[in-house]
Amino acid sequence: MTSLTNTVSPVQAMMIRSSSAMIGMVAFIASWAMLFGGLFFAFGLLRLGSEAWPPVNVINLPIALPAINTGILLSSSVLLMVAMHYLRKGNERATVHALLIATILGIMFVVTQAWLWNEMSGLGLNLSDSHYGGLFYMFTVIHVIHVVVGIGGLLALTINAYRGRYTQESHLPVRLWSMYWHFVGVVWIPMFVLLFLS
Amino acid sequence: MSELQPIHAAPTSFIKKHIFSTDHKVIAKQFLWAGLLFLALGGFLAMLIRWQWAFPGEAVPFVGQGMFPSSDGSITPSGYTKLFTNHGLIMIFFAITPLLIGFFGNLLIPLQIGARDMAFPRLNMASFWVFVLSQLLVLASLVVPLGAAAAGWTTYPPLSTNIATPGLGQTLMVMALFVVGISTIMGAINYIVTIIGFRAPGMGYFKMPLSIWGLWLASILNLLFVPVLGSAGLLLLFDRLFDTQFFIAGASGNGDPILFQHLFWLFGHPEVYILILPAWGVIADFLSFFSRKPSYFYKGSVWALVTISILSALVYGHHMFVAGMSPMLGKSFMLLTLAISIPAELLFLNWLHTIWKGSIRLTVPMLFSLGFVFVFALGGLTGIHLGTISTDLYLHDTMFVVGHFHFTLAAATFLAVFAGIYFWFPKMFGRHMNQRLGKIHFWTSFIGINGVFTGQLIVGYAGQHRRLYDPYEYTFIKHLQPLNEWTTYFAFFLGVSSLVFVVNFFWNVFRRGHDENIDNPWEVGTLEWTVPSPPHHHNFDTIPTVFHGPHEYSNPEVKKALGKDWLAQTEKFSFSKQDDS
Repeated sequence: MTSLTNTVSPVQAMMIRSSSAMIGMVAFIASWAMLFGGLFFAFGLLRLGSEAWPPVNVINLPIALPAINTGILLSSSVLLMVAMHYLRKGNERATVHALLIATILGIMFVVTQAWLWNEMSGLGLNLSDSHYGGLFYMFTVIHVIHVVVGIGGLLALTINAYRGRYTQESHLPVRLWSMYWHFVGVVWIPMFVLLFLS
Repeated sequence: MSELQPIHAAPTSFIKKHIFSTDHKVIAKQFLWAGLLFLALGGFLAMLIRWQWAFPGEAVPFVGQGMFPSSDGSITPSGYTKLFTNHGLIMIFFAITPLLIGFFGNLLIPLQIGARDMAFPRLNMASFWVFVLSQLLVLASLVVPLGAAAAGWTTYPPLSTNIATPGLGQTLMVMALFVVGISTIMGAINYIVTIIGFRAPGMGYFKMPLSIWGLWLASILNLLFVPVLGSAGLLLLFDRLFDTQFFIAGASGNGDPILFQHLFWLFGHPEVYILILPAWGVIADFLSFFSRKPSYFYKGSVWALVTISILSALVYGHHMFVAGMSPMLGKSFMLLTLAISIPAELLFLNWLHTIWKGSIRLTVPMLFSLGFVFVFALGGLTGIHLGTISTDLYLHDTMFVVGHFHFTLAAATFLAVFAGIYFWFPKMFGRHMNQRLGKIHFWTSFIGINGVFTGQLIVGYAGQHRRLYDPYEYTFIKHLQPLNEWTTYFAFFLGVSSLVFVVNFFWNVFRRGHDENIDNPWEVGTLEWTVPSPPHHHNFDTIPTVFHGPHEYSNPEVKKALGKDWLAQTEKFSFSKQDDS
């Protein structure tokens, strides 16, 4: 893979540069997957050590609303793929629209999550009474922080796409934020299964 | 045609040049200063701990009145707990890590692989400043109300929960660990990508110096396992700040303190290899450089490093043999642990084979390297006792454990760091360090190190528990007091001997002038020695092309043709028979 010249064509240079950014993003995601892996490990051990799950006398979490919310987050990911598809085809208007919808879906996810917290704490489920509540709030809060960061990224992408900053050939930020956003979506799936279905 | 790594003009303002610099060489020096500062702080705490073990309850001379006014200058039990907690945490996360990873990594990776800078220079700068933030959190934790962290360096709950350590200091320390983890991950991403993408033409993976291999593998382990500590830290912070009970068992909760041990050691065991891998790499290179021989079985060493890195992720359970583990699981962990000794043995034999019959030049870095080999052998061999369940049941939590991990993590890394500083000092500052003072520093610290940690091994074998405030309350340990006292004298000797280094280092950093014979004083062939000392802002005027491995020494053909016993990696030379397989 090593060439014997010092200079490369501009296209080559761009490709190498974008590939180091991609490798960096993969490394970051691998690292963060381990962070969530540690949290899931903790969930497993605490769940195994509990006599009943959900514990008796604790408000149970709903399934329907989180399931819908999971759908919202995943469709946001799909919309981002659609945006990428249009970007590669050179359809700038459709790209902006898809990015905008993906962003709005991300915001909807956060709003729904906040509504769920409010609802559950109103019903009397709190952080400190049981692992059931503690893990629910802790995991979802940590995840939402990542979603909020992602929404910031998607907003920037939408604005920059609207201004025509991305072309068919050059759209590295879109690819990087897509990787991040898909990761945030993928990591939500085991979280959803553990918190609401198990 | 545009260049992949353009030459940027060197910054001229003081702030951009020395403080918020994106130049890897400056960042390396920043990590060096920050690390040495905390090394001194951690070393000072160690002296106080040693005082307590030699003369329990007696007033500490010089500093006691200021530090422990309530007890008239003698160390209190709670003060003692804080001392050993902060000594451990400061040394591991805020002294050795920045020196071995931050300093070596930043200095060596671009220079030794032939790159103009890191892949992400601004991320690199951020990594250092996040590290500074974590150090500030540590300093803050030492002075807040209700006292500094006191749960031991392992931060085990329930000691580290509000029940036992309600102080803000413990919370700040856990936060500092989380923040230093973020800094480490930023660095690791940078190192990994730079090594993958920015090697000079011809610099194949098997032409990289072993230092780079060590740093690369350590970065991969950092990347994957530091976040596991992060998850444990988050759970602990929730327990401390939001009254969850993930780690609190008993009347006040149904959590699981052992859960923390799992997460901690899942990170903690790779961590010990993170700290030793760069040291192994650097020392393996030095042994070849100063024996004037190719590194024996280079590829074998590389594969040994890779194998050890993989195995390091699978053995953490040996820290928990006494935590109530299923015997079946315990035996598996024991087997995997002992399996590490096979690649480690290969590595070790390669070192010995490299110096065997070499034309050894006893320079200061070489002395430190040979010292490293000696202390690492002791550290490694004592590890076998602890990895074996039957002996560990007796030795667990004794001073033997302390002696073992200090031989590997303190003595060995300490010697490797100083070997590196003496070796690369000319490259960094354009001046030589005094070799005579360097040799004095080596012999005094070598004697000190062995005295201290052998003393710990012996008292541990005799049954002294590692964290006793006053060990001699137990009659069966009473007779160890003279031995502990001697160990303490060795520790003070080691502490004082560091002043030789301080004088040598500061004098040569700040004196004026530019020494002769500075570009390649050691006559070695790796890429950093093909550029002037100190290197230009952009390292290489043209990106070099690499033809040879890093250890081309004493080749008779080269000697005959060029009249010297070494070959730079960039020097084109056609051997009559290709032998760098």
